[in-house]
Formats: sequence, structure tokens, C-alpha cells
Amino acid sequence: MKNKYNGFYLMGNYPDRETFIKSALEGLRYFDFIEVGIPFSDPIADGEVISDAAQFMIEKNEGFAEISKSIEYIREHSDKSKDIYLMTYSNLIYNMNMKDFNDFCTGVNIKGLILPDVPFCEQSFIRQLNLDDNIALINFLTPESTQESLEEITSEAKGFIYFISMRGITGSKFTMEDETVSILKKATSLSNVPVVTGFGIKSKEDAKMALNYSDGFITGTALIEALKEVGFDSFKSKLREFFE
Amino acid sequence: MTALPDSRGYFGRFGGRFVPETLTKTLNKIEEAYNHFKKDDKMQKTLNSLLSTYAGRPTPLYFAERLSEKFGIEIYLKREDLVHTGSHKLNNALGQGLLAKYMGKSRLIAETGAGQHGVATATVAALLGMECEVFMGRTDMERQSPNVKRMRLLGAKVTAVDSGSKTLKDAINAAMRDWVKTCQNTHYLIGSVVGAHPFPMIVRDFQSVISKEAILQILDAAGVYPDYVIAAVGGGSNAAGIFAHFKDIEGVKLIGVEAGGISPKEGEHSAKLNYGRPGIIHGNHTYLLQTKEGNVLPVHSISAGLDYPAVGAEHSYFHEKGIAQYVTCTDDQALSAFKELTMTEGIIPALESSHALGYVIANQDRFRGKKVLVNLSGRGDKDMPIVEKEFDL
Ligand SMILES: Cc1ncc(COP(=O)(O)O)c(C=O)c1O
Repeated sequence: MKNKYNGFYLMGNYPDRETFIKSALEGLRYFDFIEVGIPFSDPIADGEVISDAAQFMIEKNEGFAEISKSIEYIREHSDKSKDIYLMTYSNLIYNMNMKDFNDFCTGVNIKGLILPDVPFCEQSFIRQLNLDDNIALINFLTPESTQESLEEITSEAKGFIYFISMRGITGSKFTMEDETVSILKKATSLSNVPVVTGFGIKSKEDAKMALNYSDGFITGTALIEALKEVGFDSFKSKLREFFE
Repeated sequence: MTALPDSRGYFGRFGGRFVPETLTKTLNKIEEAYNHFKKDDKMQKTLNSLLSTYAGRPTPLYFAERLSEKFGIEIYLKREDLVHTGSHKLNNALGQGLLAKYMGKSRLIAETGAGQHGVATATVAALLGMECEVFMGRTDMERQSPNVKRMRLLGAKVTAVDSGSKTLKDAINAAMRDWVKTCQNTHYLIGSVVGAHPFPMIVRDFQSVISKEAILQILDAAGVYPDYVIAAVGGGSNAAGIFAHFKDIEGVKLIGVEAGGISPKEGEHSAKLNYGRPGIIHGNHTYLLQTKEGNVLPVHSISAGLDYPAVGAEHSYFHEKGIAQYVTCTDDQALSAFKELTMTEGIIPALESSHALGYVIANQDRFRGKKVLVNLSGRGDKDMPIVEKEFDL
């Protein structure tokens, strides 16, 4: 059995730098990895909560330049065994100065990029931008994955495999159809890296269900909602809820 | 017809399939079904019969005599404004609607800017007995209100999109978000040569009927090929359609006209090939109006159908290879061409199409004595709320 590998998503510097850093450090006490979102104007894989958070950051004029400084701080003040991933859309990576970006990622040990608009068939395009080989491009499996793509993706995956629980976008209601569970079972048996389920996980019950069949779970929208509506305290209790 | 896109959906370095992994199986299936559909005699017969008996094809090629005389330019108009529902958009909607049915889908979704593609999709859904939902930016719903009512009348659900700039790009985002959830029973009937492979290819192929007809018609009317073939470029479908069969003919110059809006200043136009640079958006690597970081910039055009920050990948390829030239026409130049064609020829053009003609008139010295074929992609009834204000009617 692989060790559990659980992750949480936060939008970088949302709702402000201080709260973000505090939340990230608190979260890393419980979770094995964090996905830091870099806001993009047209996040087609995200539901309203995360899209609105992105829009909020863009209107504040805060992007990678500011968020990367916070990540440096988080890296310095968190356990070295905890992993940091960046989650954003391909066009922001496409527009990076690749040398600076690679230096940054190496400096803070970014494990990988989670790019929801880059399917397996387009990974070579992103690689050709001269992204450092040590930075994994996280692969996705979904309820739509075929046997062929299951085999291909599990054999090449690095870091972890992001298993998308449903046909949908972030923030949707969590469900796992029987057929999906059978794809997930195949994936975990084929894969050498953890297969981690995300999308829609908002409660302990959802997480439990995901953990029944996979090597970990990812939650995001529920935490952003807590931060948006009340703030750090409510975020903290939401976090604890998952691990009580 | 053309070797491009390649098997991975690229036109040179542009194109591709930048979509959530969830959609890749669906895109593969569409590509496969389309390849069968193309070779299926029965389906082709159905499509051709609908194009003629339902859509009204072939559309005429009209020599605009009074306009030609006035400017000293031989101006021919390909009358896509006479296609049923009022624009070229139906050519693609009929093709993809039949394809969707062929694949066993029961629901169509679409994005729309000017509303012409939404109307075309709603029409096809009614014709084929399919469910239909159209996503439209709130701003566009206001400025193209006649089309919103037409869609509803046709039985489509029109969903207002309030995110971002509330225009075409946001309508595409909304449609994509719906499609990831509903791809099992729903076909996303994309309205231009944009999006992930195979859409740019499929939409171009369905629109290429425009130049398939025009190339024979112009030989008939003028005795020779035109010097210039000119079309407005929003996403680029009517341009792709009229360029397709002229592209390899020597001596024919292709010109795509982008919306120059108010000025070349950021946010005041939608001219991506003129003022943008490559990026990745809505499923493909293509020219895009974007910030230094890569966020999509707000765009402007008086014409909702051109008010889009990106362009089909094949046009990016044509642009870099010099296969076509891309120029701009401002809001004001388009409006005066709109008036000119209405008053001189009795044809009320869509504001989108007015950009193609507007470029010719604004640069008349360049075209003096030449034979110019303009794609009149649609009619202007839908633009009444805008022109009423502009012309104080
Ligand atoms: C009449 C007409 N022409 C042109 C366009 C622009 O689209 P495309 O560039 O795909 O032809 C539209 C879009 O709504 C339209 O309605």
C-alpha cells in the first residue's frame, strides 16, 4: 500500500498575502501537499468560487510576481517533506521567462505543474517551452479515460496522478459513479505514483469516499469559500473537519 | 483539399488541443465520426440537399455595379446574407448538427456573440428535433436583442453569461464548462474556426462551400479570378470559408479584416493578428490579445461578432506564412460602409461584414481598377439597436 498523499488548493495571495501564507502553513500541518493557484482570466476548468477568486486577484493586479514571494516564505517556514505544486493555465506558463521560472521552481522545490487545460496529448508542447525536467507535469485521469489512455498515462506519470472525480468543473457536487470507481481501481493498481482524487470534495464524507478507492484526496473550493465568507478562523475549522 | 491541420491538429506551430483531459475522448470521437461522415454518401446527400432546399444555396454572387462605379473598383459580393437565418453561420450549423445526430447526441450547445451563430444553432436544433442551449454574454444580449428573441422563439434556452467581459470569449468559457459536464449526450456546436482540434478543421470544411461556389461564379461573372478576396475576421469562419478554394490560386490575394475598433490602443479594438502575439486560449495555440503575464485583455468592436480576443489557428498560420494579409477597419469605417452599401445598393449588411467592405472603401486607392470579391457574411437586421443610435433613426 502506498502512503496517503492528500492535498489542498489555495489561490495564491487570496484574499490577501498574510491570510494566504497563514492558511498555507496551517494547511501543511495536515496535508502532504499544497497546490498554489496563479490567477488566469479565463479559467475554463473552474467553477464560480475559484473563478471569482481569480478575478478578484486580477483586479487587485496581483499575479505570479507577488505570489512567488509568498511561496518562498512558505517554503522556508514549512516542513521540507511537504510538497508544493503550482496550479494554473497553460497560457501563463507559455508567457513565462523560462529561465527565471525554472530558477524559481528549483529554488523553492516546486514538484510540478497542474495545468487543467493541458491534456496528456499536449504535454510535449509545454515541455518544449524548456521547462526544467525536474518539474513534473501532472497527468489527469477522468471518468472519460479509456483503457488505452489509462495504460499510457499511468506508465508515464510523475509526481502523482490527478484523478478527476466527475465530468465537471471545480466546485461541483461530489459524486463517483460505479464506472468511475472501476477506472479509479484500475488506475491505482497500474500506477507507481499516488492516484489522488479531486473535484467536488467539500466534506469529510466526500474525502472518505475518495480515500476508499484512491491514494489521497484534494480539496479546494470548500476552503476558498471559507476564506471568502468568514476568513482564517473558518478556514481553520474547515481544515480540521477533514482530519478529525 | 488541404493537408493541414496535421494529425495532431496543428497548422504549422498553431492549433492543438488544449482542453481538460475529460474532453479528449469526446474530441477523438468527433474527429473519427467526422471522417466517416465525410465519406458517407447518404449523410453528404442529406447535407447537400438541406444546403440547397433549406438554407437556400448556392447563394448568388452579385456584381455591385453602382458601388463599383462610384469607387472605380470592380466589387463582387458573395451573398451569404441571403442564407436562411441571415448569415454564413448556418452552413456550419447544419453540417455539425447532422454530425451530432450521426454521433447519437440529443442536445446542442453553442456560444454566440452577434447572435447569428446562436440563431443558426437554434434553427438546426428545431429542424433536427434536438434540445438547444445558447450561451451569450450579457452585453451582447443587450446590443443584439432581436437575435435573443429569435433564439427563444425557436425553442432554445438562452443563458446570459455575466462573467469577465460579458461578451463572446466569456460565452465560450461558459459553453466549455457546460460541455465538460454534459459531453456524453451533448455536442458543442462551435460557431467559428476556433477551439480545439478538430473544430477549426470541421468548421472550415463546412464553410468552404462559400468559395467552392464563388470560384465558379466569379469566373462566370468576371471571366477571370479576382485580384483580391476579402472577408471580416472575428474567429475567422467566413474568411476561412471564402479563402479555402482561392488559397492556392496564383495571383489571388487574400485579405482578412479585423476589427480596428476605436483605436490601436489596448482595449479599444479586437485586432489580434495586427496587435497581439501567440498564446494559448480556448483550446488552441494562436494569436491572442493578452497582457505581459498572459491574461486575456478586454477587447472592443462595434460589431459583437468580431469582439473576440483570439482567432482561429489557421489564420495565425496564414498570417505568419504570408498566405493571407490581415488588416484593420475601424468602427467608423465599418459604419460608413454599412450606410454606403445600404444607400447605393439597397443591401443592409451585418456590421461584421461591413468591416470587409469598410476596409476596401477606406483604402480605395489600393483597389482602384481591381476586381475585388467581398464576402458579405450576413445581413444587418440584427444590428438595428446599434445603428438606430448611431444614425439617429
Ligand atoms: C454576419 C457575421 N459575419 C462574421 C462574423 C464573425 O465570425 P467569423 O469570423 O467566424 O466569420 C459573425 C459572427 O457572429 C457574423 O454574424
